[in-house]
Amino acid sequence: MTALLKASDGLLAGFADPVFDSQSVFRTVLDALAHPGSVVQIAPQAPAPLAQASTAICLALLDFETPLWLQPGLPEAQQQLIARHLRFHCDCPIVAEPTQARFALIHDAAELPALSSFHQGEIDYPDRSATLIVQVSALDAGAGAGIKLRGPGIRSVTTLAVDGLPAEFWRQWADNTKLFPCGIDLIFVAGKRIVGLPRTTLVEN
Amino acid sequence: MSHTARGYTPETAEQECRQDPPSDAPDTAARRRWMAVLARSEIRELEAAWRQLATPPSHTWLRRPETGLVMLRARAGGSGAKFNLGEASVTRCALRTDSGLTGVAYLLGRSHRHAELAALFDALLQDETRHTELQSGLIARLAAAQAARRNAASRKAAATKVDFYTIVRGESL
Repeated sequence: MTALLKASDGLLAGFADPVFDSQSVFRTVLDALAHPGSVVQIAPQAPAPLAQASTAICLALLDFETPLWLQPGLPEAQQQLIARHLRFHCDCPIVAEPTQARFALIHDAAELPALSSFHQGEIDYPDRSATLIVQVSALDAGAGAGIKLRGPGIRSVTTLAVDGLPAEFWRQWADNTKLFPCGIDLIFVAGKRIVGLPRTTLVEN
Repeated sequence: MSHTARGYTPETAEQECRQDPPSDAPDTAARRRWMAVLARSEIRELEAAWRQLATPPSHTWLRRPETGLVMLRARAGGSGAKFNLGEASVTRCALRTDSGLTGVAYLLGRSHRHAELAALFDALLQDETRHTELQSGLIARLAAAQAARRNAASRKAAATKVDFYTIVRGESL
């Protein structure tokens, strides 16, 4: 029996109300991507080994058609727990290569792989590119300091401060925006707060 | 953001599922057997057994009971081409008891309570202190009742069997 216990051990509950909670999260993510650079809060709770909002986004958006890439680097047991949790609730395949993934979950933004290592979409199907969920230590929008963003969904210019990104990130992001209509989309997550960064959002120098 | 039209076909998903086949460890095989017996049982049998428990456990839901459809596939004549026979309603749920055991149930029909009871007994059967008693009591009793029901149905069907044969008509004689 001990093997059995281990196999089913560590499963956590998903949304309390799968239908309404995932609709609510979907709406929030939609808002975040429609208004790049502004902070929105994810309300529904979902216990998990991840940040509140990343778990909620995964539960709402992933299914059997969306292969997920998990950033390595966590202790083996925790990595297994996350993979099992998401496979149980979303049925999503977990893939080993970033290029195969429709979604990527980045728990440590400092170790974020190059944005070009993810699927950029094809010119006929730009919607097939990857969406990155990046957990960062802190997010602040509209403050004086930070990076200046403009593009669709932003009235003139907005500022965004993100802690814990690699130094070359914003240069890579500028390259990503040049691939339009291809290119990846990105969602920053800090606790329950999220910020959307779609491929159309440009960095102001 | 469209997450359905991304060109990731069900076939790909199926291939990936195949890479991770269900484990055939003896524990898994035993659990599969008792889960099948619980799923085929009648709800009143499980309700009665539940009422008889001295210390029924409390539980939290990992996945509340939900009803969906599965496509039943068959082969013409048992060995021919595959075809879709029709859809059947299936109810599933997963829960965790207060002692930390995970119970899962998948069964035909739409009874949420039946799925809940089946999952609870699945969890209890993994409890080493209760396993022997439940396996030799409840599961054995349910399995015997199912075998009897199946037997009765087969006998009833067998009584209606017709053997077709052709009487020699003599043209070739």
